[in-house]
Amino acid sequence: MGQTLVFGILNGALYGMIALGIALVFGIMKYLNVAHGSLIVVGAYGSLFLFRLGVDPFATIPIILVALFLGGAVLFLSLFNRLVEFPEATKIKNSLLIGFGLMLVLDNLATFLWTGDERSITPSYSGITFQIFGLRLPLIGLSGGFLALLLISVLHLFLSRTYFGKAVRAVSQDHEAASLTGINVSRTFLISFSISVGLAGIPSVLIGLQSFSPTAGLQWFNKGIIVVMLSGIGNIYGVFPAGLFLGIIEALSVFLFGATYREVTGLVVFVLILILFPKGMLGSGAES
Amino acid sequence: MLKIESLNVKYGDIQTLWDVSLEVKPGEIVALIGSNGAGKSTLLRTIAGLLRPHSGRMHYNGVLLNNKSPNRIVELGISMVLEGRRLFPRMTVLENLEVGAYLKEARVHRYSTLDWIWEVFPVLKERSQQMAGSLSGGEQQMVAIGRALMARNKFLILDEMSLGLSPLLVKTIFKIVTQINKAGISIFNVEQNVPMTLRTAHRAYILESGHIVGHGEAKSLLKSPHVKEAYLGLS
Repeated sequence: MGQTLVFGILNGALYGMIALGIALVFGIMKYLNVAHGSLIVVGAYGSLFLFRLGVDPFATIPIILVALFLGGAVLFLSLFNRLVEFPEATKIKNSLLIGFGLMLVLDNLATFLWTGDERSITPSYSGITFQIFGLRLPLIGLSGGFLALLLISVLHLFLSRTYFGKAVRAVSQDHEAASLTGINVSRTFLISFSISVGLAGIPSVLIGLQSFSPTAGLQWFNKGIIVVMLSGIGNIYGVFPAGLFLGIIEALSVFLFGATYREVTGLVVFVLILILFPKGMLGSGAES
Repeated sequence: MLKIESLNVKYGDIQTLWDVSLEVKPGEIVALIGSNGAGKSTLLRTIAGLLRPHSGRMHYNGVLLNNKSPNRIVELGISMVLEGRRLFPRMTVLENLEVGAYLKEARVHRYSTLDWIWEVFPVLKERSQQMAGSLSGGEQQMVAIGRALMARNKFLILDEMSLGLSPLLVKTIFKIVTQINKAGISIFNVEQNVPMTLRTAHRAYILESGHIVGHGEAKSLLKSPHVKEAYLGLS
């Protein structure tokens, strides 16, 4: 049972990182980037490519981070930029459409380029596990958990201590008022979007180390959006605990009901939580 | 300093400002009075760059303001306090003020500016670590004005500052307006509260249904029959 919990927690850390990118973009500019999962899968392919060239998977993380950052910037400027001016409800709907379209393009492009085969990055240390208190802790999983903690800490420091971080928070709370303090709101949107996509480089490589296929994007997005809603829309710091919560629930359900019911249990619990806490477990809940 | 000539502004097909011309000279407090729906906020949003005029020209110290982005207009020297305060609710008072000093020049001098802000608004110093959203209406208004002042601009536009405040607070705010003006900042004060506004301003304009229908020395307007009847409830 402890073993399944361990896997649940490590999975949860991954879910949290995916959800973070979705939550950031939504919190700051009210876009729901449905293609976030597919972008992560594209990053996984990138990491696989570099791995085949001889680069250690964890060393590909900074490269994929930068690549996704730049890619995100291009996507924002070409696709999402126009939405900035619209009122919130329109923004959400339109971003869903654009995100979905982007997802279709990415998924089909990936299938065309790299076939539908399931892939996996398998470095020499894939199977290494540590034994502590009778629990097996996989090296790769642990590294993922560590990176997740690092990500959260760096993000927190960035948002609370740097001037640009404060600008990002200001823009997400009232972008009109923010523009009147001299903040260039469109540029802030561009950089925030690019950072959010760039940060997905970490879950990207971790997923690469598990397994992925060209159409896996939507599944990962679904996990992410469930976590975002569990934590409460508008709450970035709650995303991590919510991710861990989902991971643990799934692990418990595997333990109690067997692997077949893992997804279903997660979804049932999700619906129950939303019924009990419409604003999310931890959220301030901007809107439903 | 601020010169507006023949400004026409439309919301879609509906015209809200007709041929509006006015100016604010350095060192002045100029008021714009008018009732709800007269178009006061439309005018201010257009100056701030949040709305595009249909025709007409706006200049600040000779620089054309038309079609520039709001943050560029702040850079050019105009700070504005929006109607309804519009603070960043989940940031502290101090953080709100710090964001006000976002621009390069302002940021460099932000600590000395902060010292001045604490002088002008002593109440805020105690509340500096409090979340802006948890402050009272009057305190929020002070943070909003303070945040605008952090940009160290010489021109301040105030949109309906006295709205929703108790009479005592209104008096305090208007005293602060005079204090700020004496420190060298020109003020364009847009208000519904006519008596206090005309008593603190040097000159004033009257906006009705999108038209400027009168202007002059604030003291004389206080005595004008039209103003007395329409805005002071006297006849």
